[in-house]
Amino acid sequence: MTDTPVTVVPRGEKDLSSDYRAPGSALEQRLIEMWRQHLKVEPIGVDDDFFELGGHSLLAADLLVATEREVGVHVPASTLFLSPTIAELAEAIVGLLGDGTGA
Amino acid sequence: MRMDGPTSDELAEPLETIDLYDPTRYETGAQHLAWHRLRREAPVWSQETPDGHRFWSVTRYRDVAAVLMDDKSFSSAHGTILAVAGGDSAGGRTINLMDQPRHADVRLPTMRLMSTHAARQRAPQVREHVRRLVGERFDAGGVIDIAALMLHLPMAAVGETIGLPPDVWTALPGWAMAGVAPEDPHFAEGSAADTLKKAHHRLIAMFSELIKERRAKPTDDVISVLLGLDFGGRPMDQREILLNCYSFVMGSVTTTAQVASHLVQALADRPAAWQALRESPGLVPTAVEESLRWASPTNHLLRRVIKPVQVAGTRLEPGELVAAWVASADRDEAVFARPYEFDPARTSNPHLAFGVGAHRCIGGPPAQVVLGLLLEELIARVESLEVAGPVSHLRSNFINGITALPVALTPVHSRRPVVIS
Repeated sequence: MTDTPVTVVPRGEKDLSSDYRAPGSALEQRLIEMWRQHLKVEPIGVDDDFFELGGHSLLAADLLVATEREVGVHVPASTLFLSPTIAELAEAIVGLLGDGTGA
Repeated sequence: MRMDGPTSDELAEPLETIDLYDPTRYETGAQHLAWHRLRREAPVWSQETPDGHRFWSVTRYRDVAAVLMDDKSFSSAHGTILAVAGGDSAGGRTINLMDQPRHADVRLPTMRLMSTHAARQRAPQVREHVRRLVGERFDAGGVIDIAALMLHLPMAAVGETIGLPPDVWTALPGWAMAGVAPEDPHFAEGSAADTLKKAHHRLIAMFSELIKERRAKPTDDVISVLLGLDFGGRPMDQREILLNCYSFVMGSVTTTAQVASHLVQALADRPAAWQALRESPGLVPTAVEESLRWASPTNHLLRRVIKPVQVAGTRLEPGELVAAWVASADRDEAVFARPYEFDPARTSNPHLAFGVGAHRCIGGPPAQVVLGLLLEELIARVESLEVAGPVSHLRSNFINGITALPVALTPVHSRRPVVIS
């Protein structure tokens, strides 16, 4: 599914509480691409809330599985559900990679 | 909902004032008065939900049973509760929202884990859980909120069977109740929509973790069975597994706890029934069945007509919705003698609290076991009990819930020693 082209909705059509902020790292860029595939919204900023972008709990669960496959670490579900922004998720993943407890 | 029935025909609700949808009526009213009137005068009753979905209601035992038994004419795939009369987002994908043949793919392998035999075998372990939950509380006596305590009873019964580790047993019941009754102030966190969202996030996040663990290391529980089952020639996908985990948790947590609370209240309100039980603990099995009939924790089950069918003399067409009011069927005077009396010794008691037919609750046996164990603990540890403050009820047209039930318990061991002179 992540390889198929998707029709995207412009970010401006979503009711967001965050301002757009561009990705600052390659990891954030990779996560944004995954979110775009799942949420079909563009562009996605690193401070945007997954659920405000139109995500729901089942989509979050899908994304969790996809994220683990992509980055190769076990991402606790609470990370995505309770810290649902690219910036927070990337920070958590960096921490998990650093622990060496992933993969 | 309040459990009082009509004491005379004058007190039964007039037809024009009846509303079976409005959740607040179940919080503050006694809907048994409405069902009583409908059974007599309008066995097929039409109403609309606030968002404009018309539904028929059947209230007599024979009609409720006929609708639930006939899964060729009445589908569960559209949704089975009035709150989502427009269609359930999980429709067709979970055990409770599926028709044959897919339904059997899920039901048969999971049913094995909750059979009467399995439930009896697990009873010693469940008894330990029940004692841990209520033992000290009952022995200490004083006023306790039975409704809050009983919320945790279902985990004692089926926590391990479903595959839920004890570290989530404390928080999970609150999430499940918020999921089933997001409008109730007792479980609300913000608006009903926000409450529902938070409940779903927590439950789905938890299931995501558990599914991951069981994929790596399957065991003998519902989650592992869901992961391994043959779902029409393929495994279930992640979402189907998550949605079914949700159904199993909701089906157990939101129902059994309410039967337990209603049972305790029924006994607190009826000292004679309580004394009878204390003197004859052999009545526990019939008392458990009576508590199931009395509480009927699921007020209604919704079905959608899939082929033309007659219900109580009315012809219904495909696409129409029918609510089968189990709570009403279990007060039908055509089947139950003295239906508004709580009788722990009632012998003929073919209640529909677990439903009937293809979708009969598969968690019935563990629910019966845990209710019996609870009652045994109550009898062993408590001498007398009485309601000691305001009782509040769940704002839900689906679950017959109690949200606060302060009960004053006098423990057995606090009796003053009898001094023989």
